[in-house]
Amino acid sequence: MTTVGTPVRRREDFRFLTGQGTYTDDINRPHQLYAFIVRSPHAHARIAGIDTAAAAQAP
Amino acid sequence: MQKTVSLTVNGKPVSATVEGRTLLVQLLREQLGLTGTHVGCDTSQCGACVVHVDGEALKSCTLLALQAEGRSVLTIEGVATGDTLHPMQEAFRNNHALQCGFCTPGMVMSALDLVKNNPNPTEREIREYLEGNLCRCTGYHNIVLAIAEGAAVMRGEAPPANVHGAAAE
Repeated sequence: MTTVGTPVRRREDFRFLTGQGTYTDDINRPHQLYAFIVRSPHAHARIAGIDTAAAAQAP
Repeated sequence: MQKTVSLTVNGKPVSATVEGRTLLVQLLREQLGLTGTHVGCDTSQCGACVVHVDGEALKSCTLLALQAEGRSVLTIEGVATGDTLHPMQEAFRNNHALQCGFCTPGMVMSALDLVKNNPNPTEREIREYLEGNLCRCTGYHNIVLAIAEGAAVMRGEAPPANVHGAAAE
């Protein structure tokens, strides 16, 4: 058990330190779609209906 | 309004067509594909977008791309030499000064600016200098240790004893 107590270098650090990490905001594919979560503007309310017409128009 | 901007990025001359409102960080990330420079807040608070412009650390979300005309920009992608990390990057690695890595490019660029102007900063000076760089994972303790180590190595001194005892590979 020689590894117990021995620090282990993280494999991911090189890419993070050199700007090669890939975060979701870094991904840019052709014709990429974006999702957006629409939250209720009301702190407390009863949902009577959700109008998805504008969202359904999106490509 | 579209205009052409010409500048040097990481030692290479580049030209791009941008709008008047295009930010330097958008030019770097979206047009030049240099996504190591991050946008954390869009409001010049977090420091994830720090680059060097003519040798000075700047938040690239505060500068219009057109303001970089004719200037020389260094991003995190231009800091290492091939597979060899810069001593400051190596110090971050040695001291576990990063977790998710999102703030790291800005931290390293700021650290290099600090050490350029103050080669032997005290712990307090390092902490004060990091006012404009936010980290949400590790806390600042190991980042401060890393910058002190990176500064020492850049001065040509042996790195201070590593508190984490991380063995070099």
